[in-house]
Amino acid sequence: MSLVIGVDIGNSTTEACIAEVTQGEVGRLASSLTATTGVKGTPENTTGAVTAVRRALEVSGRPADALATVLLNEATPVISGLAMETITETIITESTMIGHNPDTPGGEGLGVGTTVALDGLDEVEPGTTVVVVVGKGADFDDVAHLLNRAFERGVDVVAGVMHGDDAVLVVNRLQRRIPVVDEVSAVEKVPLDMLAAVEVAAPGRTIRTLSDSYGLASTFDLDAEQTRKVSPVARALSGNRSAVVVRTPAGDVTDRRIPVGTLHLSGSGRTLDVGVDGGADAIMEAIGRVAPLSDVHGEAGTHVGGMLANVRDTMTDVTGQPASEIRIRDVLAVDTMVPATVRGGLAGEVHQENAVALAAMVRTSRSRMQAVADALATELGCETIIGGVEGEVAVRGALTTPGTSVPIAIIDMGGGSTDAALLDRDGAVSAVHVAGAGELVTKLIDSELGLEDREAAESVKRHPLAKVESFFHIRHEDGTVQFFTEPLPPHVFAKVVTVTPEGLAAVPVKGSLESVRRVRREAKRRVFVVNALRALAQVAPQGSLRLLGSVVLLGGSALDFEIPGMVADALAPYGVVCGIGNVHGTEGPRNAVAAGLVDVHAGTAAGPAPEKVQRQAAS
Amino acid sequence: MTRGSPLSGVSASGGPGCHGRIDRPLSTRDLADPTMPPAVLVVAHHDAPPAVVREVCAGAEEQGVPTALLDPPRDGRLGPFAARESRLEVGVGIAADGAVTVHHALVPDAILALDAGAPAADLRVLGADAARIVAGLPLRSLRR
Repeated sequence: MSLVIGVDIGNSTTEACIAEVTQGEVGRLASSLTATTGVKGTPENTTGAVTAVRRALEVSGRPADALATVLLNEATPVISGLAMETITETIITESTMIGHNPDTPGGEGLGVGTTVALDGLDEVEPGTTVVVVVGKGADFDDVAHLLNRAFERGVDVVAGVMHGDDAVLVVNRLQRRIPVVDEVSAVEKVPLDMLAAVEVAAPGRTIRTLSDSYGLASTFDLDAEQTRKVSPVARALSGNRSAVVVRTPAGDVTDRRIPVGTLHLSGSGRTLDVGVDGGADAIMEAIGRVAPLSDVHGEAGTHVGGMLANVRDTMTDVTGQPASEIRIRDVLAVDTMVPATVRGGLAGEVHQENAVALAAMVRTSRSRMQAVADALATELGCETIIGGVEGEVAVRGALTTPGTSVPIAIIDMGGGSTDAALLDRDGAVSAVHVAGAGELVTKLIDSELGLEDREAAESVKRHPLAKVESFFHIRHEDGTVQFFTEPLPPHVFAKVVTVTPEGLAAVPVKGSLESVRRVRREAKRRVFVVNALRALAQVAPQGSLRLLGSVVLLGGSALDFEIPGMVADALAPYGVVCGIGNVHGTEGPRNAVAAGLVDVHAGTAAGPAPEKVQRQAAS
Repeated sequence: MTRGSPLSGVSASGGPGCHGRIDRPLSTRDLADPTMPPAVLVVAHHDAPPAVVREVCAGAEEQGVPTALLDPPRDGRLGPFAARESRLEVGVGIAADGAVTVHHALVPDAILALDAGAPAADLRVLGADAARIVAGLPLRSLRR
């Protein structure tokens, strides 16, 4: 009998499985999990591996000196990088328009007149039609008083634009109800003495005149050519509850596509350049045309170029290989929307701009696992063996899931890359790594919701959502209501929250629960579902998913509350049985490699004709 | 305003968004009384600074939720009293020194509070938040 521990060093976690091995019988005792230290396959992994071993020993209650053998997987470094380029921008020139949705605009209707400052109202000739512009710091009672005095003098004040949040207060105090747009932070930039139109829609409605090209034409008396020029203004305003349009000599709103450089793709004996601003579809289509990809370069000075160079440099640091020998083997491009502040906007307006997110992955055959093994042997004082290539071990570990059979494929959904491996009836294993996994999902959620807070994005990714509907109840995203006997804290009141084991955490967004949920599910679908299909197609016999028997999901993301279901749904049309791994019927989707290493060592590995595994003694 | 209403018309300090002062004696007031307006009740100490009352009421008015002023009870805390009496279950108490608390009838602790001498802008936001509790909107004072 000997005490054996299998240690699987992964991209983000290091797992260990401790067992007693007696003449081909494996008695598993305990398992442990810790964060991987350093890049997988480098000497920095030793610290994490030692922690995992010590924890497993502790849980199993065995003394450290009883340990006979440590088994390590042959892990090769996989380094991934992420970058995002915004490819469109909206620019407003000459402060032509204000298209924002203050929570509480005042009055309703459309008012068209010449812009005049509040101070200048007394000098306006009676009978003139004006739009009043109210600067910072004005008190609502004073504003109402001045406007009422102007009404009495016969000045036709038809609308207002204000700095502060008091449109309703002002309108409530006026003799006449006029539309007022408030919370215009850069109100001092509104050009004076120009023709302007202010429109506020009734609650629950959106503006109709200023968001329509011919509505603008009628309002400002434009000819056909001028109407063509202002149509971007109309489009930019559609969907708003309130808006201001000022007619200036050269005012314009433009939707510009930003040139963000090109990707230089090489593969299958040819090279291809594709513009990043062409969007994800164009990039993925170009990658498909040069498949299999042998290398990618980005244009220097762009985010994407910087990211690709960075991935290459990190791999150089890790392996000592010269940068020129490092090849980027996979790229995943995803279209996304990013809320960006409109250039030239007067009220901090935000517009959804198009962006492309790119994940790249580089992998090397040069592993420094032997150095990790040597360090571990010294640290723990026992024999350390590198026992098996991870794809092979993982797939055999996965095969211990009850209900699986060969041919069996695994999808390991990690942080930086998505890995797939296939074990066919002859015992042959093929494996592939593709770029894009959990980190990219977090990044997409972060940027699409405009959170700029990685932890909040991570929380949205990991936990279901709910809406706090009162101080005593929440409504979960599936509609079920949960009551609380203690009042909920005010900072989550009426908020969209994530339901975490530690309690409710407010998501700092203005949007509805439904919109946050849509962003979260779309991000997961565009990364994990797309990558599962992409990776499986590369390992499947003749590239046909229909020829796969079982697909077992492994890795941290297999524990996600919705990703396994989404992947299974996507695979269902191919007649594939897909489910979450349950290694040895007890371990769940974790520990496939660690448990598999022990099985291989004991000669009890599952599956047909296990190939002879090379063993290298380290001490 | 209809005859028999417990309201005494628009109060000078409340503004048009305010139902005014409810001046029916405490003993005859009844929560089931249909003439009691649905409003965020503001209970201010007799010596409370009028400017504080004005900003709090203005905050709620901007949100489109009516307020009404109520005389303080003989004893007890103002905020919880206001919340208990309000048909919308939300009340604001304003102490003699101008300190303000926002209460919900079903929540023992104050939802929000401001010490005496708070800037007018903060008082306005606090009033808006009292209204936002009624409307079921996230509170602005607690925004990160």
